Amino acid sequence: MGRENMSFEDQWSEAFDGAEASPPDHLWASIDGALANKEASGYKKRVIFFKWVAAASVLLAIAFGVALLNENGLDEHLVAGSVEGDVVRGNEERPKAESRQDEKTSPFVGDVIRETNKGSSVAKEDKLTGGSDQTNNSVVILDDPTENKLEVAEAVTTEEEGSSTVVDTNAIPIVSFDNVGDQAENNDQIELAQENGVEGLAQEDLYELSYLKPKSIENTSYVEPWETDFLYRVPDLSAGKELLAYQGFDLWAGVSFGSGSFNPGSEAAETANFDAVVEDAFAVQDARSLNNSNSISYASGNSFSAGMNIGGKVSRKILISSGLHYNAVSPGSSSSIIITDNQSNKSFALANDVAESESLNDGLASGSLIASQGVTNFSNTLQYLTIPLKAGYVVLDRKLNLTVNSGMATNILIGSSLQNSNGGLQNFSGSTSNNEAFNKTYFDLLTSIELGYKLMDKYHLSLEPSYRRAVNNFTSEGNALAGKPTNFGVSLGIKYEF
Amino acid sequence: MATDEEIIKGCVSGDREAQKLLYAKFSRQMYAVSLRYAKEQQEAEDILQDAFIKVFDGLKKFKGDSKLGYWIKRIVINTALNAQRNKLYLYPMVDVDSLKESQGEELAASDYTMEELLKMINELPSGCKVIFNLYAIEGYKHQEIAKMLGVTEGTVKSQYARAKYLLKEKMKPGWSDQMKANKKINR
Repeated sequence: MGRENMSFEDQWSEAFDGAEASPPDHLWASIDGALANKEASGYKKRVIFFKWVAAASVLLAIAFGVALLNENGLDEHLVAGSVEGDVVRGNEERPKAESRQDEKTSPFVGDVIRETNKGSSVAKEDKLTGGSDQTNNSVVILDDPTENKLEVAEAVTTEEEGSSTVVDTNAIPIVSFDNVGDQAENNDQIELAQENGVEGLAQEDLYELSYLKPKSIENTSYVEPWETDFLYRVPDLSAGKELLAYQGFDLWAGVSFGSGSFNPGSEAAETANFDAVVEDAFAVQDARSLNNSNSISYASGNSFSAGMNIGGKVSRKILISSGLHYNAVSPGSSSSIIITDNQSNKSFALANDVAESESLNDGLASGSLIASQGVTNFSNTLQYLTIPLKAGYVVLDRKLNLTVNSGMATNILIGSSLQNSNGGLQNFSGSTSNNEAFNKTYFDLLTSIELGYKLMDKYHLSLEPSYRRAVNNFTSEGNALAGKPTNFGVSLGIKYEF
Repeated sequence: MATDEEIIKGCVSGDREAQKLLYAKFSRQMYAVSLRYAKEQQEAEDILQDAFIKVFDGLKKFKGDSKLGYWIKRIVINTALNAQRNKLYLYPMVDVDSLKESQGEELAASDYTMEELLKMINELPSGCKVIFNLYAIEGYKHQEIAKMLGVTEGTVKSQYARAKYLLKEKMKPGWSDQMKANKKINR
């Protein structure tokens, strides 16, 4: 377009079309610096964000801890008192006897009602006295009236220096009020006690006790032994107690059963000895898939186990356990031609690898071996005796408890069976003696998380997801396949604490 | 030679080398744009710096609907307009009286160097300059410019007419010689 024909705007537009000018060199340095500052600012914001997240997490954890603490009522009985037998009494929490004299309600377990005349003749127990305290024969309250029951016994009591009363728990009740507050029943009990010649307990004491009413006693409670070593969940080391030095060995025993997946992890053995396989094909019962040697595999299947467990705590946080389990695993089905030995009347699955073997051909030619028409589907079931040995770390030890376990399991082959999955036309049972396709023993590494729930003080229900991985092959060297099985399972169990 | 896509990808991931490549590729062109809007060189540098930081921030939103160069140019212009906005508030644009048509023959824009053309534009009042740039050089319509600047379309038209009149006056023969003479005097 000629200049004279261009509009004013077009002239200017064309003049600046594609115009360029070199910015000063320092401009990029300025932009670079600004970008760096912006990045740093972003990092700072992120750091601040994560700080808030961390703070919120800590607060949440504290809130959760406090909630848990309150839920379990620990705030009501955080005691620094002694623990002996079944009676626990905190120094601060025990009301003065004088202040309770007028009350005919709310007696405390361990309260001494009256001292008897035999006190001086009772032998001291070092465990109770610590070697320096006074020992008496007294009539004491054994049972908690808050539960509508009251038992009174003649027992050895020990008054520790400046602190609590400790009661020999072997005391036998001499009077029992099964239903405190029921006057008619109480009168019967009083009469019975009189007939049996109650010693050390005066007539007025019996009547006084018989008028007791159940009442909530908030300042006393049963405290788990481990709780005395913690104050607000913080280990109390002031008394020189070692956190991990657990006195005694809490033994438990139980039963469990479980099921899960079984992945044979099989692959063609690197050193597969096909001559040996020829022998194995006739010596063992095996569900190897034999149509194509390249596709031989044990498919994934399932497992079932049941057995007994035993274990115990070796410290407050560490426990060990073992057991004896019957474990049946079933790799998935595979298919094979069936060879029947007329002499032994046994049938075997045939591997592709041995289809051209001389011994097979000779047997088939002589008629001592008969091959089936077509392939048949089979499944193996391997039976093991499993001995797990686990060490566990107790993460949570409350009514609901959580333990993380790891260990090893020994699997001892006790039998295998090969079954026709098409309806039992063929059913082969094996014995240990002809399980050459599988190792007699293989070992697993295992890890599990045990969730437990305490029932009735002594029983625990547990749910335990676990993962196991073999460290050696479950197949023998002669097997054309090599496999290190993995197993994911869940077991349900119950155990009893002795 | 990295493609635009590779450069964009690098810039989005925060690769400083890719950012430098993008700057090297477009900075000369964009500096020329910012010089048209800025009153002086330092202001043009500030506009370019701010614009490129916005470009690096916003590249992840670039969908490739337009050419990368055009997209960056829009950012430079917007940055320049934002920088000018305060000045426009200080000197609000109002309708100007109808101007007489410039008398006499003026030279064509192509008869001047880039430096001379830039000087002519920079000597325009702020409001006129922005509207002239947007209308005559960038190709926006009066209505679009009015919307961008928040003024009436009539204001845009009258301001543009004033800019056009002033520029035509400058483009008459002798302006260039006068400018050269002024340069000598200044030396």
